[in-house]
Amino acid sequence: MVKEELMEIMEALKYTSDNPEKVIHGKGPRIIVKENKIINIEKSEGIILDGKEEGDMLKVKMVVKKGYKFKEPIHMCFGITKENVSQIIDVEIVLEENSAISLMSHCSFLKGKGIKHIMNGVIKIGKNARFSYNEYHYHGMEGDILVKPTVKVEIDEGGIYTSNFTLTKGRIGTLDIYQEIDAKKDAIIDIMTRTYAIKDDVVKVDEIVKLNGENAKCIIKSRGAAMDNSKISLKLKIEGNAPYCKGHIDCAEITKGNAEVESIPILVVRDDRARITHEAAIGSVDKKQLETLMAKGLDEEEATEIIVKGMIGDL
Amino acid sequence: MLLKVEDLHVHRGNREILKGINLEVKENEIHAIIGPNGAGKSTLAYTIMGVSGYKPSKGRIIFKGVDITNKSITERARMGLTLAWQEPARFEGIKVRTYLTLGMNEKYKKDKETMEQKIRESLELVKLDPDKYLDRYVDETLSGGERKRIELASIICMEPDLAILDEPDSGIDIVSFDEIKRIFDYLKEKGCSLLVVTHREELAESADIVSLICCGEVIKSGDPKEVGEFYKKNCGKCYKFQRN
Repeated sequence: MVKEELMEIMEALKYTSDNPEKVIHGKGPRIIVKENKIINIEKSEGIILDGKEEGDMLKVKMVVKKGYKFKEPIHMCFGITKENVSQIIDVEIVLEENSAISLMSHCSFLKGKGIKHIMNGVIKIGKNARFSYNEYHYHGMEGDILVKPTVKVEIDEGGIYTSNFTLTKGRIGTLDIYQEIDAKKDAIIDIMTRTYAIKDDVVKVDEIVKLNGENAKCIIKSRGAAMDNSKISLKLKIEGNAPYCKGHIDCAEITKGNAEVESIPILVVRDDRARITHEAAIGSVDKKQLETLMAKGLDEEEATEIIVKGMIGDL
Repeated sequence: MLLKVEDLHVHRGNREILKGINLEVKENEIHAIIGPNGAGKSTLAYTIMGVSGYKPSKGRIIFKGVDITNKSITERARMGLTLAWQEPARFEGIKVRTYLTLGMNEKYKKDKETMEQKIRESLELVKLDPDKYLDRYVDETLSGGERKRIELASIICMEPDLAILDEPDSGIDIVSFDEIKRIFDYLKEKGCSLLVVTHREELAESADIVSLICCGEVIKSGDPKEVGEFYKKNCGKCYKFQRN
C-alpha cells in the first residue's frame, strides 16, 4: 500500500521536481504527505522532524538544532492525487542559533478539482541562522482549487530568510498568500513570488515585512504574467521601523487579453534613518524585447512566450 | 542584388527623417552607412528591418528580389535579414546560452554538440569566455559593452544573409576596433552581407562601400577612402551638420 502511494506521489512530483526519485528516496530528512496521511518521515541527526494526523488536520514540526548546517536540501512533499480533498496543515519550523537549512516544499495537486490546501505556518529563525525556503506548486489543469498559505516569520538578530514561491505551470485556481515577517537587527529577507495566471485564475499576495531591528534589510520581488481573464493582486508592504534598515519592493508583471493586475506597494517609515523604495512595471510585453526576438525569426507569440517564461523563471 | 532601397521616405510625427534614400547592398558585401548624429542612419536601419513606428510613407525595400516593404519583422527575418540594435534589449531570466540559440542557423541545430560548439565559438570570436558567460543572464547585470558583444555573437550564430548592425562599435572600448573588423571578416567569409551604421570613419573604411547620409539623404556613395576623406574634409564645417 505504502509503495503504491509513494508511486502516486512520485508521479505528482514530476511536475514540481526534476528528480522525483531523489526527493522520495534520496539522502537526508524528509516528510511525505498524501492527501491527509503522512506516508513517510525520514529523520536525521541535528533535526527533529515530527508529523501527526489530528482529525482532518496534519501537524508538522521541524526543529533544526543549534549549529547544525545541512548542505543537502530537506524535502517536504504535500501531494493530492484525488479530487475533492481538503488538506489542512499546521507547520512549525524552528531554526536554532547558527543553524542552516534549505527546505524544498513540493505541493503537487494533480487532479486540481474540488481541492483545498490550507497551510498555516510559523517559522522562527534563530540568531545568525539561515533558512532558504523554496516552494514549488503544481495545481493541475482544472482550476477548481484553493491554495491558502498563511505564514508568520520571526527572524532573530543576523538571521537570513530567503523564500521563493513558484507556480508557473498549469492552472493556479485561487491562490491566496499571506505572509508577515518580523525582522530583528541585521536580519536579511529576500522574497520572490513567480506566478503564471491563465483563464480565470486568481492570485492574491499580501506580504508585510516589519524591519524592526537596526540595519535589517529586505527585498520583496514579484514576477508574474496574467493572461486571458485572470487576476493578480499584490499588496506588498515594508515597514522601516529602525535605524539604517533598508527595504525595496520590485514588481514586474505582464498582462495580456482581459487580465487584470493590481499592485499596491505600501512603504511605511518610522525612523528617519531608514530607507524604503519601490519600483513596479505592469503592462504588455516590452516592444523592443519583442522586436529583438522577432528580428531573429520568432513570431510574436513565440517571442512573447520566451520573454514571459524568462521573466517568471521558467526557461 | 541582395538589398535595394528605392526612393525611401520616412516620417516620424510631422518631421520627414528620410527624404528619398536610394541604396544597394550586394551579396557578400560590407556596406557602411556613415553620417553625423541625427542624419537618419538608425531610422534607415529600423525601416529596412520593419521595426514598428518606422513605416515608409513612400518608396520600396526589395530584399532578394522580393518587395518586403509591407512584410512583418518576422517575415523579413525568416527571409535572412536581421538587425542588431545600437542599445540591445535586456532580458530577465534568459541565459546567454539560450539567447544564442534563438534564431540560430538550422545547420548548427542538427545535434546538441554542434550547437554547443557554435555557441562557444561565437562567444570566443567576440572575446567573451564561454565558461564565464554561458550561464549568465542577458539582463542588467551585463555591461553595455558585454551586451553588444553578445548581440554580435548572436549574429554569428544566425549567419543571416544580411545583418544590419547599428553602431556596433559604440559602447565597446576603442582597442576593439580590430576585433570588430575580424568579426566582419568572419561573417563575410560565412557568406553574410553587412549593412553597418556608424559615425566613425575608421570603421566605415573597413567596408567595401560607404554611403554618407546627411539630413535624410545620401550625399555620396562609393569607395570607403574617398567617402571618408569627403566626410572629414567637408562635413565637420557644414551648416547642415551643425543643424543636426
